[in-house]
Amino acid sequence: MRMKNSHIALLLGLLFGVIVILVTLYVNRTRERVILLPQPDGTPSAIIVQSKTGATAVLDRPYSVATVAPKQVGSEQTDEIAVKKRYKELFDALPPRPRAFLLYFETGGTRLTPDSEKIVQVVVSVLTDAKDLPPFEITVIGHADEIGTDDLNDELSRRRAAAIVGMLKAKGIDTTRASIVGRGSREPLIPHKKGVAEEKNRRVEIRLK
Amino acid sequence: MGKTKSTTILVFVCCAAILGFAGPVFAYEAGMVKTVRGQVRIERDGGTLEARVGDAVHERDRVIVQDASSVGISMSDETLLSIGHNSTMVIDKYSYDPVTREGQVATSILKGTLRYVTGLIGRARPQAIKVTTNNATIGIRGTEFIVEVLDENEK
Repeated sequence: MRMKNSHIALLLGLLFGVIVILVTLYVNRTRERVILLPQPDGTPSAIIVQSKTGATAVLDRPYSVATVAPKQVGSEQTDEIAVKKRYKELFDALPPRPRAFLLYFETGGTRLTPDSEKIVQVVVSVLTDAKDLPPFEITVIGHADEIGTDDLNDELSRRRAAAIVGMLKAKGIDTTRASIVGRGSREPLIPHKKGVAEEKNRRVEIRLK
Repeated sequence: MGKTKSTTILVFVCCAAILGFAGPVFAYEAGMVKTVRGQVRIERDGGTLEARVGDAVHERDRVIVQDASSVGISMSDETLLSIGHNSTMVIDKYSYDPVTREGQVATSILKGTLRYVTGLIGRARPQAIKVTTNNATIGIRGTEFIVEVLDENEK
């Protein structure tokens, strides 16, 4: 039996309507809550939450909350206790914060200062004691002062970092996956003065995460 | 004379290219699983893996956390993530050059909860960090935050 064209059109219209309604219902079922947390060092921070329709909220106080629905963004304030209670698993599961250790060199040489030698020992202990914890990733970053070309400083700083990795290896640490980075003179601790050697900038950073 | 010149340039370009590739050897390993509780899967390239501590995490990975489970991931730029029970998170984009600290991190949380701690890319260029949800995009200015996707019936 053949259906009349008008019946087909009606049926298709109904079907399309049903599909559109189902998709809309499904898509709009979620809202989200975004909560700003304080930085560990207490420095100010902010996040901007923007809905797909352009409504925005700026959160700049720790524990301020933005609630986002498809067309709107609302904000309110909660507190540390409520947040740590509701999201306890997120606090428990967060990986440990990276730790940084700074090493300095003796004047004009490639030997570490005695204090820095002690720090290397501390790093070795941390790595040795942590055998059962999540594997530590080691990144060793060399820095150079401003004397010399960028390419030279990149290479020099990288070699400095590689030397420290060699030291860790010699003390029994598995360094096969250690990252060796030479950041050249990009990150001076003390501002550069043209043509002035700044020993504090000739340093190596060991970062564990 | 002209021939020698062009040869020299070619050699320099090749060296630069090799050095460029030699740098970020672990670039494709965007991060590492650091903590796992319960059942956590990673979907990658059409396959599924059970996530274990020490496993690598890659760009485009989809992390799926089951009931009564959670996972902690650290990225190569020191971004820290923890994802709670019944969650789906995707690493949409990730790249990081440790020498220049340039890169970008784009993640989405489609279901469940995410705690996000910005890493070194975010400190250098906050605009390079993006977190997306079904309804919103989140931009940062050097921060830590939590995102929770609520069901219609939840308060």
